[in-house]
Amino acid sequence: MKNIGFKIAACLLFIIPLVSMSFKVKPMMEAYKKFNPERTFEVFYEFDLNSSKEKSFVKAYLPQSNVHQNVFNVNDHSNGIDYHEEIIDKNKRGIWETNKGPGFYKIRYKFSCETRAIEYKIDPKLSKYIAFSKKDTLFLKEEEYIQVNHPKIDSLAFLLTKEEKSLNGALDKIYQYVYKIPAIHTSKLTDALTTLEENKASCNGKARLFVALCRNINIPARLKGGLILENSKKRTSHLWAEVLVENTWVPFDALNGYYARIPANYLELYEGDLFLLAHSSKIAFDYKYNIKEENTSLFVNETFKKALRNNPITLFKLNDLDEYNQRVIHLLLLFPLGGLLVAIFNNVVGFKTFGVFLPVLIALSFLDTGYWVGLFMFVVVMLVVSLISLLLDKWSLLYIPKMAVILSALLLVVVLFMLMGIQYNIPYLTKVSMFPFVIIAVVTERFSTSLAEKGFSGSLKTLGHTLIVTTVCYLVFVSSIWKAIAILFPETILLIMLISLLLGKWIGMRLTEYKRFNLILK
Amino acid sequence: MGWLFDNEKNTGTIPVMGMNERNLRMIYANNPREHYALADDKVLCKNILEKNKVPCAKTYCVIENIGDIVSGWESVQQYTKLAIKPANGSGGGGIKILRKNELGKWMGSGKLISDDDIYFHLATIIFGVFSLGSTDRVLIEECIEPHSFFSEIYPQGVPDFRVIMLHKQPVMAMLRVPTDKSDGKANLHQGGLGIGIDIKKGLLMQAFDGKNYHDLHPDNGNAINGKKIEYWNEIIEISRQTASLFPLNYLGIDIVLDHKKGPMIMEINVRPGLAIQLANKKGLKQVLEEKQLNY
Repeated sequence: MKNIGFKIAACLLFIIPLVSMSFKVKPMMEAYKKFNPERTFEVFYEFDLNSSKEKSFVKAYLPQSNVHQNVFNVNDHSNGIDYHEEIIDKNKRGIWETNKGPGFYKIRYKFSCETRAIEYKIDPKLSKYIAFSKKDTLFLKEEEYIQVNHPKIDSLAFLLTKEEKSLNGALDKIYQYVYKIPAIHTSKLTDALTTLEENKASCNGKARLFVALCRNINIPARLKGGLILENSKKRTSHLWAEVLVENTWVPFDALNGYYARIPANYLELYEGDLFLLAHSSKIAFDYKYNIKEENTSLFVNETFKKALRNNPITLFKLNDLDEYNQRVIHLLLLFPLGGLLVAIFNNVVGFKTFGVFLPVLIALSFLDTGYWVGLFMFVVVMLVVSLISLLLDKWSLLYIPKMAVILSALLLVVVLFMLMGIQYNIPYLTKVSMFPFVIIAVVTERFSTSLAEKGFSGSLKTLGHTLIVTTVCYLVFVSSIWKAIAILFPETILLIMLISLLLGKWIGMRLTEYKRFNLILK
Repeated sequence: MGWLFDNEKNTGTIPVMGMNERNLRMIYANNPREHYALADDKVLCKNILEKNKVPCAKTYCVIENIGDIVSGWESVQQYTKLAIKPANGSGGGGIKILRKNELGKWMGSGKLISDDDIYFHLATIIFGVFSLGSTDRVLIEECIEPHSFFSEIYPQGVPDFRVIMLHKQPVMAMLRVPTDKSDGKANLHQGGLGIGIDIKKGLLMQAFDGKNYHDLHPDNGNAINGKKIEYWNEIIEISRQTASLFPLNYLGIDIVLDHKKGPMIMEINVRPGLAIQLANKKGLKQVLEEKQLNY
């Protein structure tokens, strides 16, 4: 049999990645079924305190992972402050303690989270007289700000739900009532009764009234505290309600209109009628929650990362590199794909480019400069080179000294750009410094050679082809999808090798050849 | 899918051979890389031809070192016309045709040329200016005077025959003829004509100018299609002879007709182009199939 080695290599390059990938698909699908992240946020607790005392403390509730949110990259950056955590009644609290005397202290606590919206369906056949375990009677009790048994609450609850037999119907009536209470912006604590009496409230008043009404008719309910996540630095936290339905806590927000659902941008921090923040008295305290939304990648997210944590064939470890090396390796990961694209353009389409991998390199350098600026520089440099080349060819210089002349001229052009950019304050001209000079120098050499070999119009055609392939490479490179795939499935590099290998044995006509031989193909 | 990849004997449905298939099935399969230089280097190539008495332009002198330029140039002063070529030049760069005028002074392109000009040009060749980076040798050889057969088609420039040899057999041939547009050059992509050849009968067929087919020369109306080629049997004979001398099985052999000596080998090409298919209005694969040649 002919080419047996080739066939074996091709089979291996097909089977190995497929087998390896198949080991990943199942855990990924399972993880995704359990938790499909919709949005990703990075949250900073930024607390500043000026303490005049020997010791002082700050306490804040911390997020925990659950069906709605997935917390990761947790980091305490506070210097000179003792930090520990406590868990009380399922709530996790961070405690920062200063014991080095009076002074100014900065608490910086960072975490990232992936979140998703959840919608709950309440069985309409479920009666409003629901069964629950004894320990949950805790969630029926009167509290300081939740006056469950006050006559006004009592009669309102009765009035709202007397006609309703189902749980869903009763909850709907209560929800509608609280929802219609006019909303006001206040940071003041409002209890359930005051909300009812004044008929206006912010989130905390509405949530407390909702909980009080539920508890009044023997539906276990509780408060839930957290943050609404959005790109901002904010001081406001948020409070909503949860109702226990068949062992599941179902969220209700009668301020923002979420009936039995929680949106993706809600971060749950604690349950119960508590305060997110607490600090020792007599200290100057300032705080904000600095929130940034991040891109949620379909492939590289914490959920998949966790699912593939034990799989050795991933490149997640690259994230341990420092930022510079990470960027380098991410650029390098683009190489195989770029090579394949050039091969396809050459052998299937029939485009001739300067050098085999130059379009890939140029596209990579465009990632630095931006496409249009890069293109502009590229075209100007080529024009200058061709003018100089034409001149030098007239004098018939030796090849390498000629290149040295061109390189010097190239540098002058680049410096000229920068000086003009500085003089007239045109930032994109100064960007030329970022433009990888080596790459343009290599292109210059190829272009000049081509001018000597093929003449101006032939070189221009090759230049055009080079730019088209470069553009396609650039478009592929700027999308984050390939980076994500390469990190999650490095096996695809073997698949790229396979496709390239097959392309190397492909004998079909190139697309441009159909045009060239059109007359004799008929 | 079989026809898509180079692993079947199947030739597929398209009679024309494309670049991918030519590279894989003709060049890589038939021409071992280490022997390319035998054809690419004009000096090496002519050594083989001359040793085996295949007619080709007589070598007057080969200059390898800068120090030999003056003595080399002096050794060719007995001739009245000659051609200076870089051994590894590409695309015709660095070629100078020189002849002596009535006063015995060298002329090139209608202008007087001093010895210093010549020395400079020879040095330029040795430095590799026309050979892209590598140093080179100078070949000074006999200058061919085109046969009157060519001037019956087009009076200027030097037309040449291209014969494609596969496994020492001629499979396709064409005649390349300059036009007014091509400025004396016979290359198809520079505006020359490619004229198909009926190998068996030794007749010219239609002429292709890159866009259209002609039966007459488009510039002067001289008859082309059906014209009998002089020395055709000899042309085929020296092509076979040449092919048998090289360890290369897919070759494009360039042949000129000298007004006195008849057919002479000009150059051998290990990567012959595909335009010959257009000149012959026929795909190479179709020809190979008709000839029942395996490739």
